[in-house]
Amino acid sequence: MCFRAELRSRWRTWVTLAVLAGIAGGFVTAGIAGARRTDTALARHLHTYRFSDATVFAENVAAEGNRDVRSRRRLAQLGTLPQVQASALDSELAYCARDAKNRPVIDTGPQAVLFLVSIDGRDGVALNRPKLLAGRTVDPTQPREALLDSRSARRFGVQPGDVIPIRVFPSFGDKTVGAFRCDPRDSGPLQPGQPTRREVRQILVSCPGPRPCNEARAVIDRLYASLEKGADFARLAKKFSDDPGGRAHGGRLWITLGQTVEPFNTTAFRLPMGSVSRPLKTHYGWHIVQPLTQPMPDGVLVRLMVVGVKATTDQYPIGRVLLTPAFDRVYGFDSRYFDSELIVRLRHGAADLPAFRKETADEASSLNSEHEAAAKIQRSIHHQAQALRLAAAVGALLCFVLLAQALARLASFATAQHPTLRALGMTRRQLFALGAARGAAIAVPAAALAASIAVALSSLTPIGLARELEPDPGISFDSFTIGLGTAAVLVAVVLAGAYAASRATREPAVAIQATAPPRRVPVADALAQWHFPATIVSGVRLALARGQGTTAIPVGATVLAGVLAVSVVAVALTFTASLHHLFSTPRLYGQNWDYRSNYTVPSAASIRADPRISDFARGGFQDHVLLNGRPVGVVAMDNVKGRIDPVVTAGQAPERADEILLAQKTLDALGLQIGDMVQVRVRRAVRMRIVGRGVVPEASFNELGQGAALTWQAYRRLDPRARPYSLEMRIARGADTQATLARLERRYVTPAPGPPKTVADFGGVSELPLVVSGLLVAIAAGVLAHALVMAIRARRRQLAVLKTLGFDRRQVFATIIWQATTLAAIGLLVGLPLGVALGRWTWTLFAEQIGVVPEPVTPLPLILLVVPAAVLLANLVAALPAWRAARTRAAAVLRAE
Amino acid sequence: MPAVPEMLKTVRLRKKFESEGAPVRALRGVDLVVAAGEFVAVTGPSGCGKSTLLNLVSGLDTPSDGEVFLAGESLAGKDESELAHLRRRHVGFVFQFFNLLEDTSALENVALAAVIAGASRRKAELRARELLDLLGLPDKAGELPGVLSGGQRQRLAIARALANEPTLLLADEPTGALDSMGGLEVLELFRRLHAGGQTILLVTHDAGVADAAERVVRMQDGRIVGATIAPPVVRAVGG
Repeated sequence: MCFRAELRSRWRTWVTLAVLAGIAGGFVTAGIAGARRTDTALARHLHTYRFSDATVFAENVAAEGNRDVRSRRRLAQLGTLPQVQASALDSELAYCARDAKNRPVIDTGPQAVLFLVSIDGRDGVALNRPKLLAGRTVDPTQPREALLDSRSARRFGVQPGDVIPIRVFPSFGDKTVGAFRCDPRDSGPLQPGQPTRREVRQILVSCPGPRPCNEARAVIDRLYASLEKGADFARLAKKFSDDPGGRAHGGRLWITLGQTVEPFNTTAFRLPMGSVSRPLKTHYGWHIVQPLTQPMPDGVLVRLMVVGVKATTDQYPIGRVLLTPAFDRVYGFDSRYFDSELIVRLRHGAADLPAFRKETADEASSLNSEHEAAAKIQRSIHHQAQALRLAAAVGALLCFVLLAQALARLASFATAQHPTLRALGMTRRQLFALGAARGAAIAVPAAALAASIAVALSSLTPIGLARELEPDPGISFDSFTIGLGTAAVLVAVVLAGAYAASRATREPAVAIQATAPPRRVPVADALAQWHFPATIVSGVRLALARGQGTTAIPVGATVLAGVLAVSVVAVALTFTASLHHLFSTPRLYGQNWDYRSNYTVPSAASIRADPRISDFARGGFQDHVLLNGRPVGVVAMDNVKGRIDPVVTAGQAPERADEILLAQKTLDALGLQIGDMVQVRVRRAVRMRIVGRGVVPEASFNELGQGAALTWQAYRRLDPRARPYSLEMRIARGADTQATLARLERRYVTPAPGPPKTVADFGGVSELPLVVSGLLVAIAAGVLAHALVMAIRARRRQLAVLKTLGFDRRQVFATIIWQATTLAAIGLLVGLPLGVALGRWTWTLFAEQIGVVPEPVTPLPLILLVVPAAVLLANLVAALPAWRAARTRAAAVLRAE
Repeated sequence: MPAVPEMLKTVRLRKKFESEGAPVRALRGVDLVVAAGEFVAVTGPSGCGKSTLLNLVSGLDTPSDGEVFLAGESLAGKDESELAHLRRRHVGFVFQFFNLLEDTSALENVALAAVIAGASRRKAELRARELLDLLGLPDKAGELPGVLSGGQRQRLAIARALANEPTLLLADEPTGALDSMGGLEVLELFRRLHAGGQTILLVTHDAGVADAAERVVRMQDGRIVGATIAPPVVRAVGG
């Protein structure tokens, strides 16, 4: 009966608390369930889409010809082994392409895209089925259809229906394999690394067989004379040329730059149209050459049609494009493949791998375990899931703090009646039961709301990398986590209610008028002294006065809620600003330069003369340097112009040939500090001193936070035969950065790198801090509103007295507004500096954890914006309670006691 | 002969409260006049409408029917803000349970009333000190009401009520929460103020308290049913 009475009178409070607890519980549960879903997404994807367990590679040996039929056959045979459940044969294509920003796309480096041609049509069908994000998969009978993964689709800036023009080549150019810096649409003849061809006619008079060369010389001179007089080249070639293939077609043939002997090669490509070469001698004999076409790129232009986009399953930063068996049939002759590869799915998965590995081991092929590759991807995904879990945990903690005091306040209001009820004859146990019933009445709707919110929010998960991979997108019902979360909300609320009730039942059963004497509010007194208007003084007093008995308000807890909300926002803003700063400051993740390349090193003189390059260093990277027996990735550079040092966080950069700098995690792994000696070995072993700690750029061989740096001179002591093959450059201030970078990319092949994988991983979840803080601000606003309403109710009498003294409605309204503003002001005064300090501290911890230079950033304009925002929010929250207080009939209040 | 000004006049005042079940008719047509300088007590059993009368008279509540004239001005048709302003000028309220601001000093309690009425801070404090002296609380200016005795608290409340030199001093059971000593103090104070010319309307269920007044009006069931002491009759105009 008492329960029903209390329900009737306080149902609004109960509903508010239930809603707040439900929202908080819902979001936290959603976060934990989402983290779980994120963590398991990759494994479920690989299972659902029948992913491969291993890939066997057989490198294409140029001498075998384009199709490399032999290695294909051998690989296909491996597909019949007993461990293999399904297999697919692919070949990796040598191509020339440009991305959305018209930058070259190549198959290696930080923006690598692999073009794979499905030779037997089984890739994506028998195994490695694609999870389509848009469009459809390829039709194996269509030679120009292409299926892209999302990463490559982003690079090319295309969607299903778009066209990607590429060039394919029958041969590799004179540069390093893969370094094709060509524009597929450019038909200019000479592009570095790209084969150039030309159609010519030639007349060959062989020597020394079948005739001596002086005779051949005489023949060719006669022929040349005839040509000069206007004879027809084709007829002469048919009649006199010793080149069998050419004779049939009037001496016509296609030649590729660099693929014929000198001086024929150079002469043939230099000849202008309409001219005829003088006789020239090669070891084949004497030639005369006539050009028929201008030199042109030696590659067929293929306009690929994008038919679909699938989820990305390759490690960052690799993207993938799948082409059809029809492509191989139509363009295979004109194409060059780097290798052939057999993708296999084993009957017993990873368990069959060792046996399969043994069967396939030979010198001509190598095997990659897809499980290892997937493990690397999973690590990135796991980081993001952990971030979500952390956010949920922080959210849970803060929500609990905010709501616990709201619940306690509710309980204290109710238990203020306990002495009266006890006097009327209720036993302790009945009061306890009442408290528990109250808790349950709030807990059950709260738990139901929490469960609904968690289920509804599940459609937003998984987050980050895993989102694409999720085989069952949309709403998911993680019964375990949701059940746990619901139970937690129930237990927490009931416990809080019971605890508050138990504390009250321990008080003596006597109605106590005033337990603690009221305290002054010095701030309000001071404001009164300083002639502040009565509304402000009254508002401040209402906010900060504790009151007593039934008018008691836990001021401290309300103020704490405000401080917490503001500081959480400040932490989130600081953290997010520091994260964005990290993205835009490559120096922080070890890239103390603007451009780096591994392909060729220009002369020092040319760089010194280039005003656009302010600093230049050259040397090399080595992935397997042993430091005290441990393999570490090492960067070794000497400054040629200006100064490019590794990024140093303690100590100094290595300068002498016996000095070395280590990254933090490497130092920890080796158990060393600055000043210690370490044994470094490549071909020779040398003892060096650790002179500094720093950040070495992430590479394939060392994660962020690992690595070492020394001078190239020092490296030469370890490997005297080493030659510099890498360069680092910084673009001069004032130079056009974009244009210079583009030029460097064209010259040195390697695209300018972006942030390393670890940093990019966190880019995927950079909004998380803001989402969490948004939620907490909402909850804090709810708590503040609740506190205001309760305070107004408790101080009804006081407000009525003010009305009696002559406050009109406007002044009562203003008083409540000032009450809310006071709470906001305290929150800001304490919360902002606290939050900024905390944000900087947590960022520093985080940065050290992932291995970048900790450089926290305080976004001052945004932080200052929080001030008016908080005041505005407080006023908005207070508006309704203030309006209602203003309309309270003083008479009604004063009539009752 | 010039009429003594009427500080308060109610004409057929009615008030009906809606509540669960039957409506409550708190006042059923009350005609009351309080002349300037009069000390009038309204007495009757609890529930007879005394407190309602005070609330209507001070503008804290609006009548269902009838009119109230306070210092010659009708309260009818005035909005909240105007009523509040009228209250500041004309009404001083003394409650049974004091209704002081417990977390504010005695001086501040009194000064606040003056500040609300528009006095400057300095003037308000001066006035507050005057009143505290006048009412026998000179050394309590900086104290919180909590340390004062019941009688002292009510004197403080009276000081607050007098802060703006109100036309009319209203008291709702002023001795109800006091012991006999305190009650006597307060009644003595009212007599003194009356002697000084203050118009007072006091409401009480205690006949003994009502005797301190010049004129006692008896109420029952929302109506005036009699007067115990012959009032110095309000002379009608011209009479």
